[in-house]
Amino acid sequence: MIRYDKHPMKHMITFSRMSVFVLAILTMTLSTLAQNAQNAQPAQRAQTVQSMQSAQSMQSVQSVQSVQSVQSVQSLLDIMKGRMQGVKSYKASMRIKLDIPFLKAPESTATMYYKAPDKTHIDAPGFAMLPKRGADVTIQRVLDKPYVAVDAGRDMFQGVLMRKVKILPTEEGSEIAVATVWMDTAQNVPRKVVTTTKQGGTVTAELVFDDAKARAFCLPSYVKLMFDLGAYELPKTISGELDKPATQPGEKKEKSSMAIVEIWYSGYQMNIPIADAIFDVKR
Amino acid sequence: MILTVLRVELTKVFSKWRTIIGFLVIAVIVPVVIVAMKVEGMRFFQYSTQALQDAFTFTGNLMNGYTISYIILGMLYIHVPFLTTLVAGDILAGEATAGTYRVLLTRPVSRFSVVTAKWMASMVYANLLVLLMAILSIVIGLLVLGTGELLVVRSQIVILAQDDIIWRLASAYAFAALSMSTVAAIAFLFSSLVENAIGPIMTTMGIIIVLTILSSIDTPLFDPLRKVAFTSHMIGWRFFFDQVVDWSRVSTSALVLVGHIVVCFIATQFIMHRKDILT
Amino acid sequence: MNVIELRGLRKKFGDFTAVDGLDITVRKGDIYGFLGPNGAGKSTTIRMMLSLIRPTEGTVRLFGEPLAEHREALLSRIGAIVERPDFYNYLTAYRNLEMLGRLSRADVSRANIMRLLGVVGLDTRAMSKVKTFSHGMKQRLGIAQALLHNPDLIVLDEPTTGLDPQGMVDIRELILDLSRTHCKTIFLSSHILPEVELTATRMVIINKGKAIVEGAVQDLLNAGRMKVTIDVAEPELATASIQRTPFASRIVGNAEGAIVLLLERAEIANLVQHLSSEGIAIHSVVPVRSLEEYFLDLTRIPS
Repeated sequence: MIRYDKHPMKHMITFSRMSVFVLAILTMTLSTLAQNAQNAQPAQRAQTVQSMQSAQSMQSVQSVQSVQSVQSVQSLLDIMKGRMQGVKSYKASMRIKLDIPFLKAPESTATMYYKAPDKTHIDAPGFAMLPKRGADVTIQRVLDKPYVAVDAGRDMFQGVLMRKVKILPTEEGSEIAVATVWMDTAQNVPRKVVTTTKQGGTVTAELVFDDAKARAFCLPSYVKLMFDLGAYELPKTISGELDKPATQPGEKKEKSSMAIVEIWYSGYQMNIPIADAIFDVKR
Repeated sequence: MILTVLRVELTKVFSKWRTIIGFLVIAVIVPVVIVAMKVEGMRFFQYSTQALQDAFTFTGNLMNGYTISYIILGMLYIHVPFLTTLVAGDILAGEATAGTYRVLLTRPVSRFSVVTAKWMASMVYANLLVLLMAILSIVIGLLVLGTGELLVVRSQIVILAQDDIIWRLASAYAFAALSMSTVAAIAFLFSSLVENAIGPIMTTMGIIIVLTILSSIDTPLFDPLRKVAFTSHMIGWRFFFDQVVDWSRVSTSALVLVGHIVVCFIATQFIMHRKDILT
Repeated sequence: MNVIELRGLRKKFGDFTAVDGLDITVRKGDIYGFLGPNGAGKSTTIRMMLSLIRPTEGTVRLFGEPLAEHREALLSRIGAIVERPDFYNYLTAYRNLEMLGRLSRADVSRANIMRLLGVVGLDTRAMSKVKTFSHGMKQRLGIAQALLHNPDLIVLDEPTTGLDPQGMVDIRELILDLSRTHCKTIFLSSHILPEVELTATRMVIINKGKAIVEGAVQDLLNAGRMKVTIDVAEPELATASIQRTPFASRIVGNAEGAIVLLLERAEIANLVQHLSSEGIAIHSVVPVRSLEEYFLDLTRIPS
């Protein structure tokens, strides 16, 4: 039993190293812009990039579009945020499947409880492994805090043309450097999110929204998380291990440490009363 | 008649202090390890899953009775052979040391029966040791640490679902029993060659330790040794904790061990058949 | 009927021949003395008789059957103590007998075991562990285990070693009783030679693995030279007189006016006659004949 502080969509974690340098420049520049914007509107609401001139000054950002398109991206984000905020509480069943090169584990199940604004609890009857940093590296968390959104144009994802937007948190101390979101404009849901932390880790999340009721609140029915675990080394000689690894016939020893976590959500019960006591359960 | 001899041999084996010591050691070590795991289990768990600690939160009870039973089996794999040889190495040589071959082998019982009964008594002891270890580790483990998935840390981390554990643990302990029977059979053979139990105990343990060390040195030079050394096959119980059990490896190892047991038994019978009792 | 027949029995340990072509016949009802110095091959012979050692050559037949082919059947008719009485020290006397009895298909009822322990005087220590026993007590327990299954042949190797005088008398009486009352055949190896002298009907003396002499104890005692002490009035005169006869070389000593000679039974009268004819007064003529003297003489061990 754990307290788990997130929206299901927030299983998006960032780990691996990726063009940190480029993103750092992007972040710093946009932070300045955002700061100016915030000065103009003290309410903690994200501001769109108003100045093409400033945007164009960023060498590495190639996809900043017209003011009109940026505004529509912002409006899309606002709609999404509004839908997310529409759910005050919910409960859902989770089925979790792990695919990690050096780990073999059975599928696990858990029940997730959420209560606005930020209470989350996951109750697992037995074993479950849940991505850790999802707790504080989430789209909702990003949208709740000051950010700038940069339109990155359109991009195909799974055969559908999506709006691509880069979200850059401007709050000091934010763990996230940048989150790139592929938005399905027909359904107003994020179908793919790539989050990069300031430590350089990257998490890719692909989302499916098959449950119409849940979709109304941007609650996914399926999330596939992919991230790099980095260099790993298993401790040797646990329990006096002396034998050689049992390599399966035809099995290749891969050194890849890409983790894939698939989560299926079902049985959503939204806006139901959930006792606060549930969230007090300590791990 | 052989049952009568077996009964007599079991009476003797289970009246000896060294036999009781074997069971006492297991009965003390297993609860101590379990209590230690109760206190320090999280550290062990974090150590063994350190590669994943940064990325994942674990729920559930992975340091449970099943996991501890698996860990205990691995931990005691060098100690239980010692306890086994303590009895199996003494079972023939002890008669020579005590001079009791003279009263035993002048009974109207064939030497074949006596040797077979003694061999069976050694096997009973070795298997009971493993059984005691299995029962204590699982029962006390479940009582103290509860149930959960089995965490296996080997060349990879394997987490086995609760409904997938019991048969694996049972098979692993059965395989461990076969391994200990092999150790007993080897000690038994050495026991027939000498007139003092120290010799077989030291020789058997020496062989186990040397072969284990040589087998663990990962050079092509020792590859042939690894294939035939019984110590390489004694750890075949671990195959039961691979997500997909490699039955060909299990059966190969089991056959190698059974082969050792059969050869040792036949050799001991031959030696004892021709042996002049001079003590 | 011959209970034991050893024919051409030989046992070699490498270059050393422990038993060298031994022929022995023990008849039913005999108390058969088996004598020889240490290292003569007695123990090896007994071990071959009980199939503890495989003969290099020769045969052991017991009750008319070859031991090699009917080992279990024949051993069921033999009770034995071989050398030291060793038992499972960590078990009680009772438990030792019960276990050994089971292996001999004996009556292991409490009554029978306690009766046997009573026979050897250990009934009060039945439940004591053997490790607390003295050598003498183990010896008694050894006899009890040899009698457990009511055997026809009892092989006793040094059965009275470690016993106190009363114990020795008790065992001697037990042996005689087993022979006379229960018609058992007894094969008795002993270093306590008077014991054989007092109990055995027939005997063999072996040395260096070979039988030196075999026969009825009384016949053997009456055969050969014996030590004769002649007490005379004038020892020097008598000695000088004997020096002039063929008996000169037979003088082995003199003490307090007595002359000691080794003579055969028939020669005693001749010597007495000679001394009388020389006018030498004879106070007494005492022949001393013991198995020990005989044994030592035969095996040439200096006394």
